[in-house]
Amino acid sequence: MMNYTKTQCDAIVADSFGELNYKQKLALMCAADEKNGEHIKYSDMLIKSLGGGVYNKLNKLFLSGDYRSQVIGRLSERGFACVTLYSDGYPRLLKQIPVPPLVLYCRGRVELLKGDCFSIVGSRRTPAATLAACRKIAGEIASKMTVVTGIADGADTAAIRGALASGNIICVLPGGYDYLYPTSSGPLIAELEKSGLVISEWPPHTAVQRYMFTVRNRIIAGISRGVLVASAPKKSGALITANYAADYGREVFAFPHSLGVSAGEGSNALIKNGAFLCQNVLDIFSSFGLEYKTEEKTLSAEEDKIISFLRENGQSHIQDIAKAVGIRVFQAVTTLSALEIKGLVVRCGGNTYEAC
Amino acid sequence: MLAKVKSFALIGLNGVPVEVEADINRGMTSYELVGLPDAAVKESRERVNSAILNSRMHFPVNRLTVNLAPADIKKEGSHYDLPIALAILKASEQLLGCNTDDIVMLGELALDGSIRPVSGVLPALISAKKQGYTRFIIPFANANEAAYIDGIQAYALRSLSEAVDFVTGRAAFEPVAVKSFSSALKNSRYGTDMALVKGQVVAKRALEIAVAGGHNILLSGPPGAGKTMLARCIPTIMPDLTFEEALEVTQIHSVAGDLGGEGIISLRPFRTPHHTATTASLCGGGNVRIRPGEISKAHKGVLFLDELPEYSRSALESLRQPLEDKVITVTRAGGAVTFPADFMLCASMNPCPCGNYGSSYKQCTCTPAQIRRYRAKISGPLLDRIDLQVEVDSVKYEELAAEEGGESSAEVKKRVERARAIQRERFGGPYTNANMGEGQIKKFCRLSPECEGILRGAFERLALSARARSRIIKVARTIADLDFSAEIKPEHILEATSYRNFDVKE
Repeated sequence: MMNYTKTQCDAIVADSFGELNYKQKLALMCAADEKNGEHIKYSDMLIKSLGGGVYNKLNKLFLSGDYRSQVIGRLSERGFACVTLYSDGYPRLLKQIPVPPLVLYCRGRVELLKGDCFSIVGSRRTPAATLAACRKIAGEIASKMTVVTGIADGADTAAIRGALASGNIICVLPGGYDYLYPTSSGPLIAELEKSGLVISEWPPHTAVQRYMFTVRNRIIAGISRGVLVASAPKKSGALITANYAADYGREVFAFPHSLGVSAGEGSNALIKNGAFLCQNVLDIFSSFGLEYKTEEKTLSAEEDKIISFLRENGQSHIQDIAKAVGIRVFQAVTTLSALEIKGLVVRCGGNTYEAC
Repeated sequence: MLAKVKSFALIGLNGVPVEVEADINRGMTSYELVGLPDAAVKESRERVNSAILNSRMHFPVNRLTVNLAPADIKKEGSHYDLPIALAILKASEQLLGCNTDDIVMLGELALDGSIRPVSGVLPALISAKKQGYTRFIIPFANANEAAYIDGIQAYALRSLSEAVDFVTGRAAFEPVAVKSFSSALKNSRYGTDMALVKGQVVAKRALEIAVAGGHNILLSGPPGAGKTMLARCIPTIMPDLTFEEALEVTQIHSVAGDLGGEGIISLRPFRTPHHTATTASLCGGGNVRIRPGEISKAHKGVLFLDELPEYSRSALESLRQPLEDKVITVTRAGGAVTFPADFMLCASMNPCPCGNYGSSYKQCTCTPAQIRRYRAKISGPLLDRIDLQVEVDSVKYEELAAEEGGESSAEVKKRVERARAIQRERFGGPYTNANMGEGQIKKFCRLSPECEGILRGAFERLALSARARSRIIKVARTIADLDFSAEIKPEHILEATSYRNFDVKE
């Protein structure tokens, strides 16, 4: 059973009324607070303007001890830690945005909220090589900061997979816990709860709706010191997050993409408009004054040749690689497998490979 | 007068002796056929009647009873015509001085008295020989089926009158000459060759590994990439059928009735059922006579399922048990029958619904959810039984036009045969690496700490699912066998991990 202060309880209980908007929830808390003289009148008015049914319900339930213990008890039972705007554990940076979430419903390592965060966002249709890069950089960032991302396929999932091993990962759900989207994310969420943290600003029973994705993106932008846009087509959620981040004064980074890749048009446009071009983790860490030592991987002569061939020629077919290096194809299969396990090349489908 | 003649009934591939008894009594003219005959057997009356008359003999005009004993087995098929006709002739005393006691007869009669071919001659002969029968009358068109069985005298006759001449000794006939089976076959008889497939080096290598270790394989690639052509090459690199194998295969096809006059099937079967195939057509079915399905017809050969996700779920799931047991037991109201079904499964599919996922020339238009749904059509347990999953490249025009084709099937086949020989020695029988159970994996696929480390790294880095582990090890064992290596080396593990497209989470 969690221990909450009165104000924290107020916030959790106010948040449980789904029919209220953000302002009304705050007003409700003020109206119930006897000491807060001046505000009360205004708050009272706002609450009364809700209409008879809702007003009566609030009047009856908000201060009722039964209702309160029911709301809080049910959340604790299901293992939710509620971090409210009035809790110490509330993310420092998130408090600064215009409409900070009243309550964060958390499952997992709540202490991650206090640390430095960095967000990675991207399109669901991200090219394989970018996914691999995303995964790699997420792992590297997670060694110094906490990676924050959503739960969509593609770049989000890649970032989660990259950071999951270290456990420094926060995933922000678009809606309540009971309505996972995409529905196939269940097993991944379970892993995240075990070693990382999953948060949502909605009470668990809130069904996910379209507009919530955009609203969620403000948390991803607001909670972190910077945002990396791994990939973004012209119109995408990742761009919305980047815009929020720019509004909140966070650093925006973007992976560059080659011409003609539709999943890269948005991120290239960001760079054109002043976002940092990010080629590796050093680009990110240096702007936060963090130091990072890349580990040198020892490569055999053959591996070295393949890597430099791929660096020069980009995505290449295994047959061309084998020919260029002067080995037989099944030997190339072996060497490329080894490089893939070392995380230096990535398979792009159709037996083609790319360095990353 | 009472007369008896021998024939055979088939239950699956097993023959049961059937005694055809004809009895002529005084009384009103009638014809009774008893002993659980099915429609085809019942209709024999009209054929037998005409055949006898048209062979210038008499059909008795008394009370005639024909019994097929034992009376509790359902009799099915048209091959009882000949024994019924001879039993009737014998009972009506038109075959004086004949001895038919030790002759087993099979054959369908035409109205003019000629003997037509029937299905299932080979398995009937084999079972009859096991039960001590050595003399047979079979249709002339089925003569080839008897040619490879040693120690019997099979007389392939053309007509009822020839049969009468034979049993009464009026004319002498030569038994079918025994031919010796030769496995020295030319690959050209398969109509294709590895050398004809342009490019696709990775897929070709994977096929070689798959055949060498008896692994099942899944080819995934864009439409038009040449998946079917690659699959058709599989029989050309498989070791030749041995005589025993060929006999087994021929029996199945003989029962199925699709032998087409061929004596013995000496080429590995390659079956390509369409994706609208039902469970019964794949596994076998039928009520009175249970016939082998595609998986049994692919026995000792290749079952190629093109566009795997398009097959009905129940049809695919029905493959799981035979893939494991190498036999299929078909149970129907009419009885249960076991057919051999030791086939290599080769399946093909597109990487996504639009077919262009991973293609470097065309953009894929599918959402991740669509791709997931498409791939989820193939269940995990089925995928578990497919050890290799490889990508087939989309071929560019320049590659098609290029000259170089690579190795011929004969060269690949040599390596496959050597690898198979190593496995025969290891398992002390005709088993392959793909059949290894967990115990055998522990015994024969011990991994050095270095290999163990690589495997662990691969699982972490590539997010492989746990079920991929034993599969990778088995494939690595086969790669090591192809390499004449007693132990599994790091490079073998590394290569094996690259044939695992579908095990990647996400």
